[in-house]
Amino acid sequence: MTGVRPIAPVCTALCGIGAALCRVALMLYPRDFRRRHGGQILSAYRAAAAREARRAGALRLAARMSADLGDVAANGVAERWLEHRKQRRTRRHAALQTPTLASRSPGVFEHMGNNFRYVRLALRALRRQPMFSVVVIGTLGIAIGANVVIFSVVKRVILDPLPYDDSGRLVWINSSHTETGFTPVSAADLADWKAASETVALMAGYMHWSYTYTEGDEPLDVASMRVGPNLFEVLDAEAHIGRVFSADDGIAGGEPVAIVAHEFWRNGLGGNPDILGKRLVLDGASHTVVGVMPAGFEFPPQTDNGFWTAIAQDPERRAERTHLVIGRLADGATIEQADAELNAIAADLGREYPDTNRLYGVQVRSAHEALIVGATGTDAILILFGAVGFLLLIACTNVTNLMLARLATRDREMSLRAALGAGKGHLVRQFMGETLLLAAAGGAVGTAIAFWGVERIRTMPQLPLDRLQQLRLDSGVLLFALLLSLAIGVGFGLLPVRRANRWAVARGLKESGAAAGTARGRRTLNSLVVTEVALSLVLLIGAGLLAKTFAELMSVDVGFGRDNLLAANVFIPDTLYPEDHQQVAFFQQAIEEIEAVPGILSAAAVSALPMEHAGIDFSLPYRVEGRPEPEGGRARAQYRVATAGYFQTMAVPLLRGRTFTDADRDDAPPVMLINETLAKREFAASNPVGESLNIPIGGAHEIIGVVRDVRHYGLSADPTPEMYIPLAQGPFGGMVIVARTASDPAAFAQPMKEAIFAVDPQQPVYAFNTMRGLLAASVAMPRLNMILSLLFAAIALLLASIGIYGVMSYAVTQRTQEIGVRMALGASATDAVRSVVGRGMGVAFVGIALGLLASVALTRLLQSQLFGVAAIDGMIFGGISGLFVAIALLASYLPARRATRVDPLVALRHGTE
Amino acid sequence: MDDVATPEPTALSPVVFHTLLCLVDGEMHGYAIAQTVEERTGGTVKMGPGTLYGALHRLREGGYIDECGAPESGSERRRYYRLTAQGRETLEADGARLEGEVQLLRAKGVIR
Repeated sequence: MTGVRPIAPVCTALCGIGAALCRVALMLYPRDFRRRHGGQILSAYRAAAAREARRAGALRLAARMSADLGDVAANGVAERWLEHRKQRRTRRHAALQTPTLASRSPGVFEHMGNNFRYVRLALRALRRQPMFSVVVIGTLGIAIGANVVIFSVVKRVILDPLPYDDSGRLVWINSSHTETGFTPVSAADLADWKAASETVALMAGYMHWSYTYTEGDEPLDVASMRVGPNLFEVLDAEAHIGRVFSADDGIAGGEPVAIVAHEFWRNGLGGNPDILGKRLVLDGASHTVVGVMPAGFEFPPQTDNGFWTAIAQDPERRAERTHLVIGRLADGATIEQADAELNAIAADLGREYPDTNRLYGVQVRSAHEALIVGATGTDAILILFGAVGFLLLIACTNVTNLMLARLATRDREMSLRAALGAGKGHLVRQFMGETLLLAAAGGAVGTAIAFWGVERIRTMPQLPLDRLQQLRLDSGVLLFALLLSLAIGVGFGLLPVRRANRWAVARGLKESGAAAGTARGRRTLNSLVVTEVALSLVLLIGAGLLAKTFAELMSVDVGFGRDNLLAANVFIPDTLYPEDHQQVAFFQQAIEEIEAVPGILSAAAVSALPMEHAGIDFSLPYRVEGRPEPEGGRARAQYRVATAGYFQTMAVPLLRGRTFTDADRDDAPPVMLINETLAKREFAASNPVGESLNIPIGGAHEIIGVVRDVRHYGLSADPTPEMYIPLAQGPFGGMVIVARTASDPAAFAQPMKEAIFAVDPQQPVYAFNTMRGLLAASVAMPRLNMILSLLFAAIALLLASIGIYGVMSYAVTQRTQEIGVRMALGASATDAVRSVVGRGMGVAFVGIALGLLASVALTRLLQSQLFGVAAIDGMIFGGISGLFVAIALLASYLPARRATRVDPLVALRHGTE
Repeated sequence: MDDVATPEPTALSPVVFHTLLCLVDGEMHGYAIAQTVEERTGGTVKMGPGTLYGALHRLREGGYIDECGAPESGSERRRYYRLTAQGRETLEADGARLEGEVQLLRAKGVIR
């Protein structure tokens, strides 16, 4: 039993919402049943929710509450149906006997019959005003559709739990340097944590790996994971065929074993059922297959891996922090307890091994948060969710406006009904029938739009997040659409509750229902305009900032020539190329072969290519030769290895000195190039050429030149200090080969592959990308952000313009009599227009002012998504405010003009009609 | 008519079975029944509030259970339920049926 936890505020809010929805769902029950059990059902619902809130997180709570809500609703419908059947039977029975008074009393069946009657009444009323219905359904449909699409994204990317058993107890653990933060974990630390921790029952290390699989015609490069043998125990996952790893697997010197992913087994290995015990050659070494995982199993989540191999986690190497760690909490333990305990263990290790562990703590997070919520892109998605929420509010404001206007015109009808004996409840219910019907139709249109929208997003050429490929409208999303529509329908249905009092006393029969005529009516309409202007102003400003961000990103100087570049990754395994000079020779020969291809102008290899996340990319501490050891530790710079032709191929300008030549071999003095940022940081105005930097790999290197900064980590990331080492002096087995072509680079993938096979037919080449493609991928998120927010803003602008115009012209119509009187008394048309426009603009300015205030507060949340533009950008704030002034001016001027053209006599009569 | 309330040797639904079983121990209020069942079955039988009160309503109409006032007074009046003689018979009949089936399974060697 876990201890009693305080209930998080979000859970309290959820409980409140759930109870309100439960009350709504109770309406589905027949009246007698509801009277008898309604209160008990509600309190049982609440009790179950409170219990879940104390035991589990918001997600589990929401799941439980939705399930219970569905249970109440479904049973309500079932009870209603049973009741209906019973009533029909008694009635048929009664019809055979003499009719009595009792059979005429309004029972449950009558009540339901009434509900059907309300639906029929509603249908009839809506058919009488088809334009009204179409506009309302269309407006709600667009807004609901946009919300459902973005909710499906939120659900898929953020809300859906990890696909493992009891995944709420999975935690992600990493080391944490006191200054630089996140660091992977060393095998030695992991072993010590495992031995000492009581709060984390199981822990497994893993690392991403890329295996060369040789079998058949072409060697394949297969994304894989090297994992601690107990990983599957942590995940509580079983094999589809064979077994998962046992503790004996992966022991140093033991037989190498592998588990195959279902996909790879079916597609790469032909789904061979006798796969167990077969030997696969991975990186030139034979691995025995012990199992195949079930279809759909993936670890880490949302990645495609071919193999999982068991690795020995060498507990000797404490300084090599290479493992990512996932663990499972012990029964009853919380994340906070685990974090505290592991940090205490880390502090002990820091005292025991000060050289390697003094500055390191531990960070424990829920695996869901670390692997999904913390991932890039989730901020942007939540912001979009906020934006569609605004859109929905704007749509609802518009619809409220239409409904109020329509209500005013129906005072007579409703008062007449009241006079003929309809109770207040009946009148409200009749109206509720209409709004529920409209909301249901809007929800249906919205869902159809959402189907289309989800398909459009799923098939976009550059998706910022892989998970979006699996976007779909599942039952959870459809439930969201249903609840949203229901809430909207009920909300609008409650609009006339206060007004119904007027009907009931039949005042409407006497008055010419004038919503804008009374002071309160005018205030209501004015506040609608204010709300609409303010909300759409915020949306437009947000979209403007994101659009400007995208424009700024596209005009960034990346520091290299973008066009006609083709890149591919080559990873030559140590097992086949054990000696450094073999690796260097391989890449030199491959580059020669590639440069011999007609149409390829030059080629080069580099350890990590800008804009590409693959590659070997790390930083090293350095010291400037001849200067004292800096206090507070050495500064670091990214370490990159490149061949002589790299800067020419990428068109990175050389600012000082020279680039590499073939003479910079392993037996020549070590040299390096540095980038502008590093040169400025260490040498300010003086010339760095001829100075030397001392680094842990290869010792002192003479600086032979300075190259232009390139944007390596994306268009919005500032350049970092970089050192470039010639390949011969710092060989790597994994390189990115890049070629500059004379024409469309994508056409050169096959010739480039063949050129590399000419050097080694067993060597896989993978991940072909053009630089244009990499750049487009790097801005996929800002691009999606901009497209969607511009779309939402455009809809908002349209809705707001229609809404403002509607309210203004309605208000003017109501004032026609007043205008007529004024003009009859000698006021000029200009005076009348000025008066109307003045009032309209007054209202609009209040809306604009509130919108600007809200924007100042809200655009700060956008900060992380912006680049090259301040969250409060004068031009955008001013320009969009101006746009709204113009819209308000037009929206009040046009109806005012119309009113002044009316003959004063007609206008006077209009008022008394 | 399907409302005739004679104990028949047809299997009780899990919800009905567990509700009756809970009341063997004594009087209970609705939510306590749902909670007990969920815990007793390790969560395999989950009763949402709608299912729970639907079942209680029907069982009461059939005369299998009875309503009684609250043993102690709370802020909100909780309704308590107890097993009637007829309910007990039904449960016994279901037990006999289950026993018979278990014996059949034994005889066939499916279980030991």
